[in-house]
Amino acid sequence: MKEKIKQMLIDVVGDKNFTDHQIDMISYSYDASEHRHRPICGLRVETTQQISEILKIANKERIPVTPRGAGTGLSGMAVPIKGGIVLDLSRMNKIVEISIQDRLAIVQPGVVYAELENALSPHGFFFPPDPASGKVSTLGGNVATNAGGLKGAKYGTTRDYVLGLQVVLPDGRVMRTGSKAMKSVSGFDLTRLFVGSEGTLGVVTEIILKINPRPPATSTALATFDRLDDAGRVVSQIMFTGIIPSALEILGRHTIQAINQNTDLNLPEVDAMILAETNGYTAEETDFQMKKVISVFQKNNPREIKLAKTEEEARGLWMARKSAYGVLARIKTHFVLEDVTVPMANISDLLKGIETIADKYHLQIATFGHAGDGNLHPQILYDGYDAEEVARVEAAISDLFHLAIDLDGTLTGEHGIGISKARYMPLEHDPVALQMMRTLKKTFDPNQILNPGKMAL
Amino acid sequence: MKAFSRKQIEVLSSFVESNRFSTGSSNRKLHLQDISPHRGMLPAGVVWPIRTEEVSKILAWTHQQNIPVTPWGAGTSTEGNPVPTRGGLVIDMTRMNSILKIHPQDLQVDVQPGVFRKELNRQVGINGLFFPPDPGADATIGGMIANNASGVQTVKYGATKDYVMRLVVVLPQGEVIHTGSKAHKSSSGYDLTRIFVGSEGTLGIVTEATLRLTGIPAHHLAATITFDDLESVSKAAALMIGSGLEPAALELLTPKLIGLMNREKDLGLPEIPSLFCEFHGISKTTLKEVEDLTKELCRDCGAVGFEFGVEEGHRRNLWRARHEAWETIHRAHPGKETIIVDAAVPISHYPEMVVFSQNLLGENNATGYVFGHAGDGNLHVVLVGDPGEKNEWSLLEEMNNSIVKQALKLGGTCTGEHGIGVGKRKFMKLEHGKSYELMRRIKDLLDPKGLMNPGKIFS
Ligand SMILES: Cc1cc2nc3c(=O)[nH]c(=O)nc-3n(C[C@H](O)[C@H](O)[C@H](O)COP(=O)(O)OP(=O)(O)OC[C@H]3O[C@@H](n4cnc5c(N)ncnc54)[C@H](O)[C@@H]3O)c2cc1C
Ligand SMILES: Cc1cc2nc3c(=O)[nH]c(=O)nc-3n(C[C@H](O)[C@H](O)[C@H](O)COP(=O)(O)OP(=O)(O)OC[C@H]3O[C@@H](n4cnc5c(N)ncnc54)[C@H](O)[C@@H]3O)c2cc1C
Repeated sequence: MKEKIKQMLIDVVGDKNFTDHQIDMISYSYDASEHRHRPICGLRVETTQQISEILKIANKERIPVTPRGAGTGLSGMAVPIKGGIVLDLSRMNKIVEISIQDRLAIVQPGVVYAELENALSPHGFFFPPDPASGKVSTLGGNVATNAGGLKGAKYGTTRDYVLGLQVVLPDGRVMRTGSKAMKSVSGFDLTRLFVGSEGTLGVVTEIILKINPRPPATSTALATFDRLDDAGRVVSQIMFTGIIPSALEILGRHTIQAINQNTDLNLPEVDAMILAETNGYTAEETDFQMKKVISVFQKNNPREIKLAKTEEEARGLWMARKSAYGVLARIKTHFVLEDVTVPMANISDLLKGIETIADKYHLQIATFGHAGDGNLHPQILYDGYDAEEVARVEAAISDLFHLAIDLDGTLTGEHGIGISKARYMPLEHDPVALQMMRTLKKTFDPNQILNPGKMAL
Repeated sequence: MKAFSRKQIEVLSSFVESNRFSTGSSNRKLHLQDISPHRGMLPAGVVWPIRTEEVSKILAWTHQQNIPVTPWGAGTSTEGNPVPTRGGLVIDMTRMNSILKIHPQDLQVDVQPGVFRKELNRQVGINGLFFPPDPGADATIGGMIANNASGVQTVKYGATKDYVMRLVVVLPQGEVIHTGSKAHKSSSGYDLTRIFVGSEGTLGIVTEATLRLTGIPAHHLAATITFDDLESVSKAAALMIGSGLEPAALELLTPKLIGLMNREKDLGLPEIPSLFCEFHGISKTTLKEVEDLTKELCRDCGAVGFEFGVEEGHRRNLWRARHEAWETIHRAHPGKETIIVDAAVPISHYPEMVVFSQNLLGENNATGYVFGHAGDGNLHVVLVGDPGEKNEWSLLEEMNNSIVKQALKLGGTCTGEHGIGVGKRKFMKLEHGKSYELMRRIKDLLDPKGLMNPGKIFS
């Protein structure tokens, strides 16, 4: 980077908020995926105005800019693959307003999901998307990836909660989308276009979020099934009763085995385990729902059903599910966590297909996920130093994506495309749709400076 | 564009069977106006496609010939949304009306755009499912998607946008695009589906959709609650939402409108500010708890009368009367036209908006009716007058402007559900500032010649 430009950037953010130290460049070079690339510098921004000025400079000088929240993305979205500037948004971390009366919160993008949760909790409210990374990931990152989580089947994902945004466009102009009204049909829905756009269309600097009252009562149960088909049927039958569980999670055989080998939970080694949680305003309401869930369990040849009688017991039942990612991540030197999503009725076909792929490529694939919205997380465990195994992993991923699309699904339910899935975009989107995405990108960002190299744009 | 040449008629006739293209004047006149006073230009012809390929051929050709096209559903819009402002070709989607496949296990249905909402609900109802968005009129699914329609149940169930998973759209130059998927959620690429939903047919013609459905609730409880004054009734509505109650409907009605409804439908309702509400629940006991809490809240706000557990026949009559409010107003003022204000504000400002609007009517001695989907902060004021009477009509226009400006000042929007169409274009810049330009660019990108439903959304 030219000295002159460096100085211009320092003039905007101040000396202490500019860095090109090697150690920082290394931290900014990765996220939670396997992708790595160092930027030229990082800027810790604090105001919308600064971002606007930075983008004006970058746009004029054609310097790539990659927005960064907490860097917990799983597809390389925040990795500055073309170098340039990393725009570190973690200091824009103020909760601007919480209006319980209006059921909304206004936040800066660097606020960590859990901080908003903590602020809402005394009011009996919550922000439902609930990504498993909520303790660290930022709301800006959640918006940019359209993050989802355990509660998706009942509460939807981030996009269902974003009412409006303040955005800095790649040429530095600042604009607002949406409003504070609960519904609006005024013109095109630009808000939704920015949600899930992975920082490629604009930098989000303020977010108006809808919030929900938190039902205080929950009820939790777990059931195990010797046969995958039975578990698959359970999922669609539960959703069909009209009861929408606040969580409906599934763990496959390999995940259960791995957990057993690495913890002392002593789970039965069955084909599938289903964990259901219902919620409501009274214990009676949740119990009523849970009874229906259990009756579906009973109709489908369960090996065992456990209903938590205390909160303590509920935590116990959750333990297996919550430990899955961590346990699996430690088994081999490397892993990829996939995120395919299919219509609910196709869940058991997806699970079976994954087993077939694992056999075909002699790979260890452990699967768990959000069955209630058809979102599975096959975690492929492998030795990254073994080139031959790496090649098999890549082939398996390609098969997995084909499988998901054949089952009317999508490449990614919540993690995003980023670098990892970019080349599979044509599998899911027809050429006209891809063309439209690219034209939109060009219209917003003619010089391709904002988060370039992502999403097959 | 007023008339087609012989050659053009020949080409158009070659795209569809002869009974699905018409240049007859009665057919053209049937596609000249929706329920608003906005009048278009008589189209040169009407075509009724039944296949995506037909729509694609038609649009590729109209684009090449520079012929304006306007998609048409049931024509029940309130802002001139389907009105052909520049004549040309109207594409009436009502014969493309198959329910292609119901997927009860996935809670989904594949439909063509000309299916009517009530018919869809009859069909999926057999499976214990329903499609919740419920505008008063029996609209087509295509028109609902294009307008992102909602209704009395939106406060609990959301608007049309919340139910559209996947679309097939023919773009203004005839290309066919597939957006979204049947997966319940996705983070794959830009959300193109949402750009088309609510775009009022200005970006393309929807020829197929996959919709999400939901289970018919096991139990419902309807109630009417009455108050002495407008401020109390709207405060009660705001408080019910703010306190986390989740009504399935929460409608505000004011005395004059109730009066008209009583006279027409013999409902016997007290003619004072009222809430019509409904709660959906999984069991009777939960509904009982909701009832107690609602009563307590409303009493604190000064409620004077409650009727909970409205009997089924009466409940149906109440909702029908509410759905037909606009028609009732029209029947009470034969020969008059209406401007329908559709502003929405954050719920805590709802009382202020209601009182503001009612006072405005009083101050100007104008004929108008205030009501609305209180639960989501959406306010309707139906202003009644005669567009021929210049002074009277411009006063109504002024009132419309002041209410919208007030709503925008309070962080709201000029339209909660009816769309921009022709009538609300004047508010676009005020509401959107710089993002208006961006919308314009998206429009130019997809429809460089400006032929697709021209004269809508953008001035
Ligand atoms: C253990 C673990 C569990 C996870 N569980 C889940 C889960 O349950 N559900 C889920 O959805 N995800 C999950 N993730 C993935 C990840 O946490 C989410 O994608 C999250 O939304 C990323 O937030 P972040 O702040 O880390 O964003 P980053 O990774 O820093 O950035 C993600 C993308 O957002 C862009 N971006 C960030 N801020 C802005 C902004 N203000 N304006 C414009 N663009 C911006 C970046 O450019 C990048 O493209 C998990 C990750 C891990 C490591
Ligand atoms: C009594 C009454 C009550 C109403 N109540 C409500 C209410 O509570 N909430 C509400 O939201 N609305 C309400 N409306 C307005 C109206 O019913 C809705 O906006 C409805 O969605 C319009 O559907 P339609 O089939 O009549 O479409 P039309 O009016 O024919 O068309 C609407 C728009 O969609 C476009 N269009 C139609 N089909 C397609 C297609 N296949 N592809 C692309 N574009 C297309 C048209 O060009 C036009 O811009 C009410 C109307 C009446 C008369």
